[in-house]
Amino acid sequence: MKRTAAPKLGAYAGLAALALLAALVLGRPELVVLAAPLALLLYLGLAGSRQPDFLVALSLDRDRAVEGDEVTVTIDFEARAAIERLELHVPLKDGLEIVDGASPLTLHLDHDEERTIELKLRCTRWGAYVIGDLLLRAHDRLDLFAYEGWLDRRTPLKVYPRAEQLRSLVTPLETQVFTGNQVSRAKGEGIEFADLRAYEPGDTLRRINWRASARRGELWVNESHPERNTDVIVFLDTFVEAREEQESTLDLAVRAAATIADRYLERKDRVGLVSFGGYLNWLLPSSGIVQLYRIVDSLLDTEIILSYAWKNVDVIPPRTLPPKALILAVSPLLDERAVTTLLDLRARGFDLAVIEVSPIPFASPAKGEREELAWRLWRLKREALRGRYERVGVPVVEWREGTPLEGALAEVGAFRRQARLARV
Amino acid sequence: MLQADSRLWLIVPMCIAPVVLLALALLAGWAWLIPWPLVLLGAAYAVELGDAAVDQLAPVYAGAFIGVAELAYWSLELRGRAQDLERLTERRAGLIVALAVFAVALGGLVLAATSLRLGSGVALDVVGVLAAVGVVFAIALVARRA
Repeated sequence: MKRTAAPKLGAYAGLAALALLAALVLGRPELVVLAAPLALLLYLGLAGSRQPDFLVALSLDRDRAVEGDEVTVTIDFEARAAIERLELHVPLKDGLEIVDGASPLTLHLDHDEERTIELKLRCTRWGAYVIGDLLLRAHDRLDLFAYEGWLDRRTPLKVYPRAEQLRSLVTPLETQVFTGNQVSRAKGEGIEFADLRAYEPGDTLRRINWRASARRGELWVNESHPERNTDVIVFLDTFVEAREEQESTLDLAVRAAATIADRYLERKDRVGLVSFGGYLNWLLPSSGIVQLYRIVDSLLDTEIILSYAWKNVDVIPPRTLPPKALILAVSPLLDERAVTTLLDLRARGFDLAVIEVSPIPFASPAKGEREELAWRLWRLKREALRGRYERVGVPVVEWREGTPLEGALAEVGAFRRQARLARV
Repeated sequence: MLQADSRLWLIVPMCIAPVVLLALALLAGWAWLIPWPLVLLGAAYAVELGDAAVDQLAPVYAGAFIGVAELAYWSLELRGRAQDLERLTERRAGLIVALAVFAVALGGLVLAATSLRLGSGVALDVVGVLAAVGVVFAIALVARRA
């Protein structure tokens, strides 16, 4: 630990020297009386100055939490020599706040004393955190020196995004060939009844519809929809975000992306991730709990990286976007690069739906006629952008904090039904 | 030589100024300002002594002097949060009292030493100067080693 002199060390030395000099000049022994205790105090303080000797250990009661959870940080001290005053500071990033305990904190440790400090933290924002860069400052008995240093007791803490309520999901237009929970539009082996057709050699007996066969006088068989899985790509726009205080569109987008991935993986679908922004991050579609952890861990590292480089769909590896995949884009639709890329994906025939994490609650209209006009124009421009998507058959649903994500996804289904009717 | 009235005009501002400076240092949290009220207090004491006989209360003033300095620095340190505040307060208050008593005792010894009849002359003055320089040098040496 680095030793630093307290302000009073220099002050006492100066005062003692000044008093002794004045005593000599003025010939007054009283000034020596003033200086003597200061000089002796300095001597004792300097001679007795020792590096503090103690052990520190830090632990968390768990290494994974969900937004809103409380995590207890335990710091154990074991002093091998008495420490008159020990100051402890545990720096915390935004997203973690102390609900019980204090930092910075001052304590006294006797010789061979063991002490446990507990800090209760609330995880207010998802993210990958590292707790345990401890700033310690120990003062000597006469408080003439401070020994200061950082101790590396870093322990990772992953805070997962809070899951949104979601019971029904967006039904993809097309399914894949693997077995899953999604009733395919195609006909084949399955449970869900689809149609009747005339018997053909090779059809199994159990598929014969005896009632229909009796009515028609020839053999008819049931056709059914097979249960298939789907490939879902969660497309996260990380070019820009709208932020107000602690909350931002990116926070909401990550929460929505994690929830969607979780629900589709529960249905045995294959889910992939494309984080499209200042830097590109992707995960190939896969299924299972391991994929869920991969996706969520990847989402925890998501951040806005400012970049002026133009990016389009060409930078996305082709295998990331399998044919017939359902692409669910979560975006505030603020950056032209993301807007263009999504339109490009639609033009390439992907089944696309956009969940617009609305930036409007994060922006408030300024006062004044011009500002009001600018605000209205900006909102009109956004409306026009939605219209642009809808004209190419892409549903754009708005989702805001405090409203159920399920409602937004239900709107996608409603849009598709409407679009189908319009086509008919 | 200053007359009693003229000295009073000098001493009163020199006593008010440290109080104002100390209050300012504590309010603003400026540790660098704390020595200056003490310098002024010492100067006021030196002016007040004038050519009078040796002040027998000097050790008491020394105790008060170190007590004021310690309390001032302590009050600046109290700005953080403490887990065992009572324990720390007791220990620090005990230390300050001990330092003040120690200063009184040491001051008494120094004062007793000055009453010894050792004669006078240039040689003794040189010894005094050398002793003062030696004290400062010893502190500097220990500081360097520490």
